[in-house]
Amino acid sequence: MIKIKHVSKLNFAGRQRQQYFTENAELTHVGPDTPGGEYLRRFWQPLTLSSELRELPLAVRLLGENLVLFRTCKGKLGLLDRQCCHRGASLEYGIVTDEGISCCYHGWLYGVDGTILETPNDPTSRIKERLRSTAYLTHEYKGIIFAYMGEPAEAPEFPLFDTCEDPDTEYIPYSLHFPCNWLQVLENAEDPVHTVFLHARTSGPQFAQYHSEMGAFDFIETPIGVTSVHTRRWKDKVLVRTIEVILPNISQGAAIWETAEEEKCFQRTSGLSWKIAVDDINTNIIGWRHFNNIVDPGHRGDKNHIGKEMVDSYGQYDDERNYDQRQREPGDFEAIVGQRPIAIHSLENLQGSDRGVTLVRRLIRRGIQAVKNGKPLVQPARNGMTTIPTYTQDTIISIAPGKGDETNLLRDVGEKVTHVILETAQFDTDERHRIFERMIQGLSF
Amino acid sequence: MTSVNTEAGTYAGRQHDQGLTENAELTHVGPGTPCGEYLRRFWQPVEISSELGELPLAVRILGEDLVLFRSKSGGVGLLGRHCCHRGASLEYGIVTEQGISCCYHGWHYGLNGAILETPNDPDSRIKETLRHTAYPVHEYKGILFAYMGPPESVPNFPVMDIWEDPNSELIPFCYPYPCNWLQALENTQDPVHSVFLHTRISGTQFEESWGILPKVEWVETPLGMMNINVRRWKDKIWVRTTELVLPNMNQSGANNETGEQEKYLQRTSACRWFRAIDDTNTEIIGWRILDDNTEANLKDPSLYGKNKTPTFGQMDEGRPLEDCQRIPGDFEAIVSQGPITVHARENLAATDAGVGKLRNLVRRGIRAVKTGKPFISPRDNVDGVIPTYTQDTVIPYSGKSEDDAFICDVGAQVAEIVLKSARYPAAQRKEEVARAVRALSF
Repeated sequence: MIKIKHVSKLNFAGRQRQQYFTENAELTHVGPDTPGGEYLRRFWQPLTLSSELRELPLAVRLLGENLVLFRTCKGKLGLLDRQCCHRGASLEYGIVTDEGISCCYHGWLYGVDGTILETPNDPTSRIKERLRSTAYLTHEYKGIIFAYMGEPAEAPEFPLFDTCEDPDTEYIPYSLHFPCNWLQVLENAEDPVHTVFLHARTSGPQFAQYHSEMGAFDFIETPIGVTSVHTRRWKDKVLVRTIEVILPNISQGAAIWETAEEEKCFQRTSGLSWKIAVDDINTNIIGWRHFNNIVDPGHRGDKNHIGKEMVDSYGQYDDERNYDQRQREPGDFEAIVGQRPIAIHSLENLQGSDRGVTLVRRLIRRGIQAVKNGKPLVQPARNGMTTIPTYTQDTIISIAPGKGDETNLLRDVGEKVTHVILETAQFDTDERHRIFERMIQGLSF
Repeated sequence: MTSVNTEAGTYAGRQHDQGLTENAELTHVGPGTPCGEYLRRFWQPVEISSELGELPLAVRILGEDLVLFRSKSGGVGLLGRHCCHRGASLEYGIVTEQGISCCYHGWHYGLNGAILETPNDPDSRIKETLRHTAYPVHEYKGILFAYMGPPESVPNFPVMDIWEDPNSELIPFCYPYPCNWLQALENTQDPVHSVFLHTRISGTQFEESWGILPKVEWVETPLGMMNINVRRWKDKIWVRTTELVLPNMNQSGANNETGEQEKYLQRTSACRWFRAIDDTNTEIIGWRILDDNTEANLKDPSLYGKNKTPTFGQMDEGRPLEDCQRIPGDFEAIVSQGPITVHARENLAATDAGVGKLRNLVRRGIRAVKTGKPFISPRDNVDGVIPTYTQDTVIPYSGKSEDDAFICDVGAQVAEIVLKSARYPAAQRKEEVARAVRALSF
């Protein structure tokens, strides 16, 4: 007789969740006339790297709109609806002129402001007097081309952040494509606990050893968004690292190569970047890697590996690694894209350490509602200073271990340093650094 | 001036309503669909074992995205692909002794969907209230099977007689079909297509005797149904039965059977499930069964595996389109019926009675599950194995009768003997069939 082994009926969960929950459309959809899309359109948004725009027009897609970007023969930037308003041919095949661009199909000529300058297929037509093409304001800054896609008359001042205006820093622009919704890419910045797992414990340290320490977390609203405060002990030092989100879609990380071995006071960022929605399920990270002797004293950064679809830090883009390597050592890219094309909030189970994620969502929802209800919207402001103060930094203080309750100590250090960060934001950069240092020296633990 | 074709008035013009859609009840497989819930009441093959290495494998079954992995202590887990913390894909997770932990924040899952740890928030009590989607897995002869139905009613894994034959070897294989599962399965209860697709259309793909239009009947079996396929060929009468084991498994007779040698209850050369990946994709997974009857050139096990079979026309072999057009196989015929065949646009003929019967049986099962009634599933066994009904019997016949009724009668009598022989232990059954068939008088 043949003996058949039966399957052990362990206590299996079976199917646990409704598979048909959908994404939170209010927060994640970005097309024209969507609440989230209208909100994002109230801010300057990066389009592409300047180096990507040559003498030919560039087909670009931003917030679900197909556009064409070009530089006139006189050097002016134009950003128009990609389709010609005559018969819809794509202006990526157009001819760039002194004044603007003319369509390849029947020659309609557009100015950079959307004016129809000529309709040569019907020269006497008066259509140009009443019809205009979609045209958005552009601004070029440090190797990146930006657009303002809201109401042109209400365009805010282009934001100059303190960390982007440092004369001793070199700014190298880059652009990375993520095939997923913009919000989940942004949220990763306000989720410091992922660094403990993804970047340290999961597959070995991807950045520095101290990343495997849990430490203490806090999340604080700033005048321009939100910052995480992650306070950790490493040997005889305590590191207070803040990483901020500047609303609606900028994040500023701390120094990538920080090792927490030496005392530091208000060390700034390795890079600031926008997470700009191409459409609901595609995002570009566009920003700069910052190079100076303070954030990278060991010169571990690689300027030659920064640009279109490349950056010099681990797991940040669809790099050359094969699937097997990605499975063994996943980085931010794999974790974030793996959350589905649009992460489904109703299927999540958020924890205490995810407070940063919920705070980001709450602030974005608040902004969306404000735009929807015609209420005023806070734009990053200089408040009479040269630049807009930001809040990302590392401060490392020598505190010997073993003095009382460690968790309370970390909380205490975190709170006091956070207070200094917020308090000093009323001063322009150089003064802020001086006062910051003095205030930190005055602290005792 | 060229004149316009004056016969234009005789042309049909557009005839079919393009708005007709597929029969969703029988074809849609996602969670909560009637057919999906029916298919989930049975053990379904997931993947061949050799594909599962040390890294987790992203799989898709019945429209659900899942992750399959082998824990360090050797257990196989099949979990929802997206971590229930923040949705990162567990295909990037780390396999542990007891299960898998997510790469993003370290949530740790057991094979049964228990949340073992939430290290990003170690004191959280969420693990006491929340569980992750998890299905039981059973590994058998190189194939991993899963049960995705209600966990409180997991059936025993059904072992069929043919799989436990000590004289045969089971070699796993699988390949995808970019179309709905039902049309791929239906092909197995349509023996008449062998006459055309496999013989007359583009030359003999299997054996010459397959070109004889057989007499076909379809009967229900305790497991589903089978077709009885009877041919006069030279001095023999050949009775082949090909069965469907509900809901989506098929065992066919030997590919190389010629019908020229006397034989009784010769069993199958392959057993295959038509497992839905989703509504428009199907994985065919099964075993090639090698035994003394297998031709020498097909005995090498390395001929079979992932996306690999030496049998003509069964999968996307990468043949150029022109080749496929000149000599289409099952793959071309079935996939070309469309992503999901639209039954309302078909015009079934008498020889398609098997297709109709199959659909009726599947519909009956779907509705039974929907209304909480009992449904056919392989259960009754003899010495632990479930008797099946696929076979070839070739009987010497020197008489002159070419009468259709006579041929059909021989087929019916042999089929009845095959059905009744199920009560004998597998090893004894062949002799019992031979004895009973020889006792028939014609």
